Amino acid sequence: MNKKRILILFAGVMLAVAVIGFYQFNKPHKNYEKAKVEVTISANLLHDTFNSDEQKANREYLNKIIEVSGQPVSYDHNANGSVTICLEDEFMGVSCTFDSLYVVKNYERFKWAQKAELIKIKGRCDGFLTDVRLSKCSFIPMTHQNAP
Amino acid sequence: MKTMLLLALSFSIFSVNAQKYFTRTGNVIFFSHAPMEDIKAENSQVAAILNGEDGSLTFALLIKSFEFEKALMQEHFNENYLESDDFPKANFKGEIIDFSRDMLQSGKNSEVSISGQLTIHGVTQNIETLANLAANEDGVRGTAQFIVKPEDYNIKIPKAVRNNIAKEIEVTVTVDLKPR
Repeated sequence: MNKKRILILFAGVMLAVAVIGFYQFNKPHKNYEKAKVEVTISANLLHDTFNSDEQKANREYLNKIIEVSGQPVSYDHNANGSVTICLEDEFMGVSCTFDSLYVVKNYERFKWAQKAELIKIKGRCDGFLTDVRLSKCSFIPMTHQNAP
Repeated sequence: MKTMLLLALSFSIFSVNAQKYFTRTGNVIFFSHAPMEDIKAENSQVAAILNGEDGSLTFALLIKSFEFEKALMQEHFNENYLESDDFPKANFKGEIIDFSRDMLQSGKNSEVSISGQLTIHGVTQNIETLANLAANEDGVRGTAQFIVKPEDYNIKIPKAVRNNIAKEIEVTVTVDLKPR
């Protein structure tokens, strides 16, 4: 009787481990569009921070959800359907890449952003090459400039 | 007036030759084929510069920009294997061997060898690979495929997942370089 109980308990634990393992293995990617902003900074200041001490900036900003504001200076459609918008400078600014799915769903916002003088974008900070790179970007809704 | 025009013309030709070819959105895919599973990841934010004068090449990418199908794999890749908080970048500096300027003439297609230094996970190794350069009106498309062994770059793979991750990772590079 006792043996049977232990066996059932053991089987239950194994099943729980298997189920948790399965969900862990298949867990979805983080939803960056809904993610909370951790740092708010201007594109110029963010670039300056990386440019002056990259290691320190890495410790401070890598993997964080950052909201940057700045003037869009270039707009590129990439081969995989994503869009990259550079703020302040194409090489010495902040490059923000939006996934193709987001681009398709927010067509109007991209049309507007191409003409805007100041936009706000949030995204995950991947690091610094000559520009600071943000991935998984989305627009922060603006209340002026007739923003959609 | 004529000499001025000639001077201007020759200057413009010279500046065309001295051109740099550039992209910020190059593509690097790696593929691991192992008995248990195949794993693929893609990075489409690769920066690359080709010097049209001497054929020297520079590539740089951020490890965190690699995208995996499974979130858990991406997490393990960043946190356990590539340790991207400590080593956020990978780069390559090298040159096209026997480079000549007319490889960049529109319509030309050249098989070339590339040699240089690849730095991943803070470790630098010499590598050599074959590549293809296809010049067109917009610039030049470069493609290459080579093998990277994680152990060469001090990337430790735990015994438990030895059958899930290949010892030799196939890397495919595609860049559409535009003159600037």
